[in-house]
Amino acid sequence: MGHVDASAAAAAARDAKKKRGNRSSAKLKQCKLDARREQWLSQVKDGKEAKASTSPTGTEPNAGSMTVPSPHPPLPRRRLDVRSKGGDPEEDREERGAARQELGSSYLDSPVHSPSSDNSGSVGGMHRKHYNNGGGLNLSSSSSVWSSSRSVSEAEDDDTGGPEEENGVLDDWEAVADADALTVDDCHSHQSSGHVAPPAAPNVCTAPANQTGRQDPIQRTKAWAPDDIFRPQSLPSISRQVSFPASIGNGWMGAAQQANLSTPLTCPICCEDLDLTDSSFCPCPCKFCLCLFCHNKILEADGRCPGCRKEYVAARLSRSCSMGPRY
Amino acid sequence: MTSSSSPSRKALSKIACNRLQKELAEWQVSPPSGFKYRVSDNLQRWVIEVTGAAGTLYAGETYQLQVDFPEHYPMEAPQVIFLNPAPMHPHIYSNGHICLDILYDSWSPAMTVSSVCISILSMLSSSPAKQRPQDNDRYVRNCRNGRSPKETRWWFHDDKV
Repeated sequence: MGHVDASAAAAAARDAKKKRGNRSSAKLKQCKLDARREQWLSQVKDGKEAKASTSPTGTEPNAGSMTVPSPHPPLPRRRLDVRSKGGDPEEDREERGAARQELGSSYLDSPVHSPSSDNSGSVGGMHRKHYNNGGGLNLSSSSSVWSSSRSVSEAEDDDTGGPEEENGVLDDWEAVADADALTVDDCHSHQSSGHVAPPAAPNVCTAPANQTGRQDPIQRTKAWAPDDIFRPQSLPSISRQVSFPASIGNGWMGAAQQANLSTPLTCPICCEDLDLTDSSFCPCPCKFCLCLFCHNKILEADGRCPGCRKEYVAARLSRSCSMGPRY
Repeated sequence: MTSSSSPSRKALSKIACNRLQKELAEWQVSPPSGFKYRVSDNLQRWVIEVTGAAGTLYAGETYQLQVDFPEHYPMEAPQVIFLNPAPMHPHIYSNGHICLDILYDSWSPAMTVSSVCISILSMLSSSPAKQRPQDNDRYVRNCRNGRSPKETRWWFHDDKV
């Protein structure tokens, strides 16, 4: 019941628009068409440039996300206003369907750019609403002119049966609509695309959008997870490995130095200081050091080492040497 | 009856005096456990109190040890004897003479009073029974004239005690 009423209302609106178009002159129509064709060509070129440059598109979604949360509060009021009017809800539905189609196509074509498309779609919608509500009589008149010209073109197609030139014009419109989907800044292009694109089944569009939205966060978490895991683990292990051998080396070096420094400075027999000659003198393999004076006395007594109690074998040789100069 | 020996001693040489002063200084810094030096002005004669080690037959008992140093110490061994009463030990005679090889033939100039005291304490700790040597009576009878234990020809036959 509701659907039938809506379709009837739409048909009535279209008939009204056609009548207004007939009133305008043919010359004015031709001039306007030429200007619009030139604008379309320039927009197509801009779209291509946007596609070519990938890095700037990556940065744009961040800016878009920042601005999106601010206009959230005014949304419910506008919806209420639209509902109060009779013919407006139909147009809103058509626009929403078009936006969803654009989003779906962008997801399928280039999954890498999905976040940018999300931001661009939302930003475009907001701009549309601002433009419609904020504009005065002039703005409303311009919008009516655009719509009237489009309706005229459609009428011609129906009458002639589809000539080649007219078909080319329609193809251009579709290309412009696809190109406009990528761009974010142009408000007019979004409006034109919304109007030109025919309404499609909203159910089909909503399903892929939801799926893609759900998949995005999963991919992001997976991508960041290994980095987070590796960064904290790698640093402390490296520092620990470096620090341990250094400390161990220092300890060993210190111990070695201390061992070297501990050398006997006095004779254990007479408690006199050992000079350079006495320090270098080592008569026994057991390394028992003593001064030359005490060594000589021991030789006169029993000739045994005080440390290990073994006889001094080499000492006898030293005796013979010492006897030499005396004679 | 059996008085301590009093041999005619010569004054310490310069080397012996220097050595003993250093040993006394080290003793005061870190004395061996169980020994106490009795302070006196005579550097040539030390009197040391010996306390038996815990867990041995002589635990809690105190004896006095007399150490006399010769002129050419440490080239010559000091004379070490127990003052009366002497402990009951298989190698210690009633007149205080000690049968220990390091005090006679096995002496080394590298040894000190501390090392000698530790050896004597070890000998007391490893005693199997409190008894006199078998030839105690005959030996004491021969040393009545104040003979020094260094003049005896010792026979060191026991490596355990």
